[in-house]
Amino acid sequence: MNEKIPFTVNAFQDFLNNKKLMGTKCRDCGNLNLPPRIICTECDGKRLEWHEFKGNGTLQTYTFIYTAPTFLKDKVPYAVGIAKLEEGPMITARITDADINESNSIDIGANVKIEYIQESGRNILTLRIK
Amino acid sequence: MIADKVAIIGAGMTRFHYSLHLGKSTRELFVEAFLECLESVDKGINHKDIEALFIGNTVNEYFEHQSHLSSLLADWSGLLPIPSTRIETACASSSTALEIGTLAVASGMYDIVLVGGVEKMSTLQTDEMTWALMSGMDQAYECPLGVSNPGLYAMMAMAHFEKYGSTWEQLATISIKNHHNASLNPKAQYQSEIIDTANKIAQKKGLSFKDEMDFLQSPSNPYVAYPLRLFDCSPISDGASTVILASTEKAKNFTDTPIYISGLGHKSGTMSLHDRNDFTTIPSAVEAGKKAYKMAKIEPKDIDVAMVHDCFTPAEMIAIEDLGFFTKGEGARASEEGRTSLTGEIPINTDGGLKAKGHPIAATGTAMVHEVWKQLRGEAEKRQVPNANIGLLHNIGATGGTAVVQIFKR
Repeated sequence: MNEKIPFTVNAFQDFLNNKKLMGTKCRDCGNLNLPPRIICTECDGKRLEWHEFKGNGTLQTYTFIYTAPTFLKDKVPYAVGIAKLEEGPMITARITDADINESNSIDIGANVKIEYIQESGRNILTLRIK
Repeated sequence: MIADKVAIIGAGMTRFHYSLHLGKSTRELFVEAFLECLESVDKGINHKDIEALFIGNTVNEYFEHQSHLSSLLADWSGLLPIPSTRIETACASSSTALEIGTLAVASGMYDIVLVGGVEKMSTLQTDEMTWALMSGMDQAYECPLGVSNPGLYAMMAMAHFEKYGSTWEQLATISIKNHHNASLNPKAQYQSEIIDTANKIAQKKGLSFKDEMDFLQSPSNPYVAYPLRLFDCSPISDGASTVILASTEKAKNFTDTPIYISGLGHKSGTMSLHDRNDFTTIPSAVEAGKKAYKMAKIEPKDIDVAMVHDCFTPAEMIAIEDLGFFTKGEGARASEEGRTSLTGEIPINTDGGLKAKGHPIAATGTAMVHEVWKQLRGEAEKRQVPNANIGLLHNIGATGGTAVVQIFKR
């Protein structure tokens, strides 16, 4: 069903808007890429297919943003982190349930689950700490 | 081989500053740096001697709505009709321009070229500027999440703290050291020690600080991206820097003290930080360093003085590890112990670094060259490192999508 959808930023976003986290799997070496690629980052293979990620992972690092770009300046402070998914790839996401007043409120290595929030009329990735 | 085939015969820069240049645009900034560069050539040089121009500029379309800067700057510098080219590799733009200029001379196409960089940043408010500089990150997969440049380096710092036990207090010593060095540099934006700034703020607000660290840990030094505070971050700056390159044979006509370009390293890395296995290192910088050392036939221990890309304090910590000056994980402790100070075993950012000298994005690379040139010629005055014969620069685009490492010899 997804076979004819090109591996584009737009397609990735369309999937996100439907609460699906989609990357690519290389048919040659089996490597998974998230976000989707056109060329496999492992073997330079060009025979890729869509792959859905389950959205479970661990937090690798994080920060609290106090100085934000214009489109987010009313939301400060907010938290952002990088999660390593159980399938392997890592991804940047907002963290929605962090207690930003406590600097040690988040543990690096914590289990996280990918969720979605709507912002500027589209879904963005968030991490819920389990 | 290209090593030592091309030499620097002159260097000039504006002072880097936020408010000093408010009335100037990129063209005036660039010409100011260029005129000083011409003056710096020991035996004199004419406009007509310069055969090509390579300039770095990052995001002038945001700041001034002026692109096609290469021709504009050639025109305003009185260099028409020589070929002029703009180069953009984010914060590494002008060191990349120096690389391209070096290759152009080494190829035999030209004998003498002008390279440099310029950035006019003070036209935007902080939030607009944050957004403009985020154009150097991955627009699709990083920016919508709201992670800024300081945010990415903050996450690198957090990963380093977790893996090696380094601390924010250790990072603060990098900022203190760089402000000290800048206090000795007439080109620097902040020519004051942090303690002097702290005392000024204390007086103004009716506060008191025990020492620098007490100030740095106070609300007067607010968070930008936890754990990084304002004094962990390079400032918004306007400025320009220029360098004249000549073939080794021609260089002798212009100076008895040319500085040779001995090593060129330049590598690319993933745009997104999350695509790297380890956030505590910049792989492109490690590889660029190896390439430059190999070309110059030297090792890290041979370097007498180094300018590294301290856009944020963790960036300097990571740089001095990636370049092999210190063991992985030891960068922050080495800084705390003073091993990178002017009198330390490897003086780092003798000009004050991006932190205190200022960081007009694309002007930074050739400004680093300016300081190395001064140091290797023994002209760095109060911040002179004794017997400096080999210098290095390390200039990073964003989080390491670009890494440039260059080595210079007297």
